[in-house]
Order: sequence, then structure tokens, then C-alpha cells
Amino acid sequence: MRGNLSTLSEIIWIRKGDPEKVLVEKDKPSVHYFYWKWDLYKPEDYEPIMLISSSNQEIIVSRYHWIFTMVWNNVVKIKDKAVADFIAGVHTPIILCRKTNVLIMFDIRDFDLESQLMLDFILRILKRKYGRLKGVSEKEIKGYLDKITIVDRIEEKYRFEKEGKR
Amino acid sequence: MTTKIPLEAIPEKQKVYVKGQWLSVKDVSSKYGKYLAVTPIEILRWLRERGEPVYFSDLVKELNLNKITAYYTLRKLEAKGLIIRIGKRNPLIGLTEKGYYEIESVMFKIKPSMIDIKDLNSLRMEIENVLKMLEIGELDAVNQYFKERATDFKIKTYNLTGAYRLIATGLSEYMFKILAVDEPSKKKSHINQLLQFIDTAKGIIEVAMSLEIDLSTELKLKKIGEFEGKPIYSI
Repeated sequence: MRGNLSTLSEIIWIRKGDPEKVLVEKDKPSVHYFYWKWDLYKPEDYEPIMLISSSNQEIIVSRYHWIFTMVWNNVVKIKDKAVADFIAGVHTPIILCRKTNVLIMFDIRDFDLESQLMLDFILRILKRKYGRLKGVSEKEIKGYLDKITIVDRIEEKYRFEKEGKR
Repeated sequence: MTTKIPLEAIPEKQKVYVKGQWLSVKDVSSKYGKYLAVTPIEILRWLRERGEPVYFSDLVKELNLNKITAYYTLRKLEAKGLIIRIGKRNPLIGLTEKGYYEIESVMFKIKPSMIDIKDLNSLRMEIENVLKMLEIGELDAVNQYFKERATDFKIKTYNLTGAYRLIATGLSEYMFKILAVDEPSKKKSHINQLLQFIDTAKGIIEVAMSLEIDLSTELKLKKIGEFEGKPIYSI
């Protein structure tokens, strides 16, 4: 179902990546699900991004590998919106931040081997590619309004919730 | 008058001529009371060949080593986690898991520096064929395959670094899990998990290559505090 676009707006700008569509639940417009048919070797890739606004700052939350929650603050803003890169192939969102001080709260022994590997990988990307971010220009970013589709509810297993479904 | 020794009579391995006989270097050193110099690798290899722990006194006797030199060499090997000394006086010397795989990799000259997409693609194809063998009830062949491959990857964990080591660890541990269960349906479920892990590893290597990220470096995490008993790290 295609919704009324005038009631919705983009919550971020995209610098890298080209989602096939962006799904938004009509009762929860603060979460946008960036969708690709394939994630390298797996079908159905939903990458949710949630905007949480408080009186003094805006925080963005995203999901990584189903079990990790990534909280982004000190975000780079262009025309009042944050900017995201979706990593080529796997489409993991990286929100561009003014300072990349990555704090990780976990005990690595709690994770299975696949999760340990995935965590190692995202940390490498953040360290090597986003540790010293240079400025972002308006020319590099784009919107996605034309890709937004409003839906009643995202399929349960792909929803972005407190408890992961996988 | 000197005896001329025909060339073909000289053995291939290093031997020493003693009164009409060719003796090994070890025999000569024992006979003349001269201790041998032995490298740490030779001690590990000898322990690996023995297949069980040995007493310190037997080790120095059998290898004809100077006790003090042997003591210090073994202490260094223990500090690296390659052997373990059990007991104080005349300790029992045993090879650790790390030592076992370290010497295996030296003996078989396996020194990989990375795992690439090609390796994982062929591994995936092999496993898909093994899955077919499982379906027709060839359990022994399936177990034999995973036993060999699990050991290969276990050895690689000692030679690889960074994310490559994590990948090799994951592959070997999933394979050991497959070996640990007898029921074919459980085996199949673990094999599917292994295939999924291979796909994840392939994805990571592919993306890392496109982003020019080196997976062989060690990622250092710095512990900066704790929250509700869980450590907080910074990169």
C-alpha cells in the first residue's frame, strides 16, 4: 500500500547506498526500514533506523546483525538531518558523527562465533573508515522520499524492537 | 693403512664413522658423553611423536641433553603455552593443545596468512557434497571428512591473525560440533549452521576487500569501565 507522502518526511540523508524501498509503519513513523531484496548471500534485508529526539539533542539508533543496537550521537547534520552511509553489499547503516568515539558495552564471551566475527568487522570499519571523517558536502547527499512506502506493520521477524527476533 | 670407504656405503642421514660402523649423531654423543644441542621445535616434535607426557629425567636422557639447558628451554616453552610442567621435582612434561597444533603446522609446513573467497567457495562445495553423503547414510565418511578439516582449521588458528583467525576458529568449532553429535538430523542442522557461517565469512572478506580494510591486523579494544558488571570498551 502506498501511503500519503505529505504526512511523512525523510529522517536522514543518504550519502552512500541505494535502497530499493523504504518501509514505514503508519503507527510508528520514527523508524524507517531501508530495504534491499538481497544482502550479499541472504535474501530480504531490512535495515531499520530510528530517530529519538530529546530536548537538547537528537539520537539515532540502528540495528546491526540482528542482535546489536547501535546508538549514534554527535551526528553530522546537513539541513537539520543526519547523514547515513549504507555499507556496500551488506547495507549496514553507518551514521556520520562529528567524533567517532566508539564505546562498546558487552562481554564478548556472551556472543556466539558468528556474532564475534560480525562485531570485529563493524569495529574495523568504524575505526579504519570513520575514525577521521572529513567534512560532508551537500552535493554528496540525497533524499529518499520517492522510495517511502507506508505499511500497516512490518513482518514480525524484521521489526526493530527491544528484543531481537533471531 | 687407511680403509677406503665406498661412496655408496655412506648413509643418507647424517651419521658418524666409528670403528667400521656408521653411528647416529645421538649414539655418538651418548658414547662419548657429549650433550646434544636441541632446538625447542625438536623438543616439541619429540613430545608430539611420543604421544604422551614424559618425565623430565627421561626427556633429558632420551634426547641426551644437558639438564640445565633443557630446564631453561622447557621454561621458555611453558611461558609460551606450548608445554606444561606437572609437578615440581622431576616434573612430567606434556604438550598443550597450542603446542600440538604449533608443531603440526611446522611439520606440515602450513603457514597461511589469510583465508580467501576462493578457499571458502571450495570449502562450501565440499560440504554440500558431504551433506549428500550424509543423506545416503555414509556416516563414517562424513565424520572422517570433518575430522580432517576441523584439524586443518584448528592448525590454521595458530598461524592466522585478526579476523582470519576468528574465521578459522569458527570453522573448526562448527566442525567439531558436527563431529560431537551422532544423530544425522542434528548433524545436518550443524552443517547448515556451518554453511551460514561460511557465507557470513565470505561476505565479510568481500566487503573488506571493497573497502580496502585489512582483516589480518589485531583489533585492540581498551577497557575503559564497567556498567552493570559488563565491561565497556573503546576502540
